[in-house]
Amino acid sequence: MSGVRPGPGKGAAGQKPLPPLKKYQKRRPAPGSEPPTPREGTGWAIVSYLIGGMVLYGGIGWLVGRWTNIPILFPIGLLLGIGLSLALIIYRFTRQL
Amino acid sequence: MSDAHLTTTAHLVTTASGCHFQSKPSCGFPAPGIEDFFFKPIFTIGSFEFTKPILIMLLSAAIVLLVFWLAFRKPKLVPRGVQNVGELGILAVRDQILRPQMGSKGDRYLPFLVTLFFFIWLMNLWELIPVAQFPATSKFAFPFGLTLVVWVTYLFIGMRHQGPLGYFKNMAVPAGAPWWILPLLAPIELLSNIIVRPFTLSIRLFANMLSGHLLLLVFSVASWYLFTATIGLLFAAVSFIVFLLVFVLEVLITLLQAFIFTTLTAFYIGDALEPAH
Repeated sequence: MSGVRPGPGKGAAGQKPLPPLKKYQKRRPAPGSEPPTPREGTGWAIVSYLIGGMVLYGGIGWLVGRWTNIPILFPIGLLLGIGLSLALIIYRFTRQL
Repeated sequence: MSDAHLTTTAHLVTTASGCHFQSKPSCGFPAPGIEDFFFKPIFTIGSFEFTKPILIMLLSAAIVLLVFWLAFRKPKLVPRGVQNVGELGILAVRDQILRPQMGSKGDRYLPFLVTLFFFIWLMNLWELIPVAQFPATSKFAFPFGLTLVVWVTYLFIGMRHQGPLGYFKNMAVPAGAPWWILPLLAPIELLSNIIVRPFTLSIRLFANMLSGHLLLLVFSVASWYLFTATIGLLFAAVSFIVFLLVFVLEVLITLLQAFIFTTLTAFYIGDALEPAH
């Protein structure tokens, strides 16, 4: 299959229309239905995840850094926390949209 | 003067005593600060001090109670008078706050949200009313107390609807995440849902009202301080215009903060009602 799908009416006469691409069809909402809008609190929930990730892993990094005398562990922990909370936000919120 | 000391802050009393720009003997600009948020008690019972913010809170509660009692004392099918206002308020909360967050299955919690919204809004509104001129919510204890109520409510609802353990399990395990990353993500979820959420909820309301009150103070005090027969008059005029603009902004903020607090409460309760998606 070539990457380009002919639009409706563009295909040559008599040619069978291609079967719908299931992979993309699944995500598309049924015709006529509104796409689900994200709830208003979602934005604030995302902020609280970001704060949570930074506080938790930044805190762990800071503590371990103090304990082992390697101060660089604090920023590493912060970055790790941000990364993990971003992953969490993606898992939690992009799947439902 | 001694009467004024009872309810107003020390700083406002200094200002009212006639300290102006370039006055002799010269006095510096009495910059408003955090000390303006501490009041002399109106009266004390033992070690309990009854202060202006407490009075404002009690008045707000009484007004909310009175308005809704008057509105629905004898409800009629065709609403008239106060009942119109009451229904308008309740429907606004239901259609703008509750339904978008929870759908119609959350209608059970409408009374809680309506009370919360109007109580907070009124406590904020005192900031703009002459003589009172103080939002009770700019004292951290008030948003914190309200948040505590919300926190206990949504944790309780969650444990009742999903089971005490199931609730925390559903909270900690995000759907669709690979298993090996779960031990790293679950602590973030728990921390964010149980500690960061209530913390940010109260801080947001508190900080917004505190800064709003401080802004109004700075510009009104500056208008008064600069009000002299010198070039200061020009600056006083500018300061007063800014004061009016901030005032209009604060009218919006009082409503917006009450709205956000209630919306987030609805969101948290909605999350507790059904397993996270």
